[in-house]
Amino acid sequence: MVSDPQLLILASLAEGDKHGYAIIQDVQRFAGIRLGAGTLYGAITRLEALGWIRGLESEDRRKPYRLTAPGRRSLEEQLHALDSVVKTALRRLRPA
Amino acid sequence: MTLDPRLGKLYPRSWRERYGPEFDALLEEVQPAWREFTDVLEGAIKMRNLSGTTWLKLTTAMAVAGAIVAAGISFAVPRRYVSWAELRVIPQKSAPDSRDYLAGLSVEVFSRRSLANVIQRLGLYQSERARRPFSEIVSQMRQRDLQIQDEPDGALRISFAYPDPYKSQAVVRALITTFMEANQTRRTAAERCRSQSPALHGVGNRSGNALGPPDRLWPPSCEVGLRNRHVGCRRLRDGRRHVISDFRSLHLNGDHGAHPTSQPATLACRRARRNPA
Repeated sequence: MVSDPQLLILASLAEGDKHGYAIIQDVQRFAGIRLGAGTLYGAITRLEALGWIRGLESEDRRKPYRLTAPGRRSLEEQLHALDSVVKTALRRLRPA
Repeated sequence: MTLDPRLGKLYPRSWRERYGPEFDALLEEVQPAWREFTDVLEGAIKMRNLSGTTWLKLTTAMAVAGAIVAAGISFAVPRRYVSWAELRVIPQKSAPDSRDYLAGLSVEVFSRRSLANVIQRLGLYQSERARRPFSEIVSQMRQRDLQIQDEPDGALRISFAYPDPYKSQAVVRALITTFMEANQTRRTAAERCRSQSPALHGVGNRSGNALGPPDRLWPPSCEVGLRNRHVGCRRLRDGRRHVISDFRSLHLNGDHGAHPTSQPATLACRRARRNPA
């Protein structure tokens, strides 16, 4: 099970802009993992510092986040790497 | 119910300037739970480490967090109220063996049957009765909530702890009433026994042996059998009668029967005045 909060947030934002609580709900829906508020904002802080997501202006206190182009590339690279790991592991599990 | 937004203040100031309002908004939306609480706490520690916070600041932050946890626990633990009363045997002539007499009455008053009756009549332990057998509830009442103590002066102290102060009082009152009724039953039986058994006067014990001069034996005392509630006659050795003629409730302020174990007594007394059990 993929449990890296940063990867999960990137995967969630790949669908569209979301604020913190919407990300928590979305991740729980597609990955079955409940991100805590502290974990979520720890990851958001790192992702924004890396430039992979950015906060959007909002009149509401709840600020939505958007996946940036570098963030999208990073997500694709991570998923390809993950895909490679998954395929290799499945191949090795097959009976000879 | 939401997480306390003050938790966000555990984060470094520089971080709060950027993320504070949206983080507070999120704390208001998530379900309050211990897991969520510890997650926020852990996040705050990590952020403070990243921002180079000194150990002194970190210690202060942890002290604040500890205080919040303690406050949370104190609100989470259900409040319980203790009511109590003291029973005293007043001897009629010479000093009686009051402890034995009270012990005899206690067997009847604190029997499972008697307590089950109190539980049902006052509607105690409603939620627990839905989940557990009734016999377990009675055992719990005897072992956990009901306390019976012998006082140094020979009195018997009965106390009962319960989340509802009025029901707590009502239980103690019910038990005291049962005590008084049991005592009255014994007295009535003794009077009846005395009037119906004049032959006991100066006759002797059950085996017919002479016990002594009539003036030392009269009046013969009688009492109710304890175990089977059979009204029988038994001559007490010294001819003394035991009568519970004085019972009083001992309370913090003299006339109210409940005080909370974790709150100032005056609060419960005020509540007791408004809605006495």
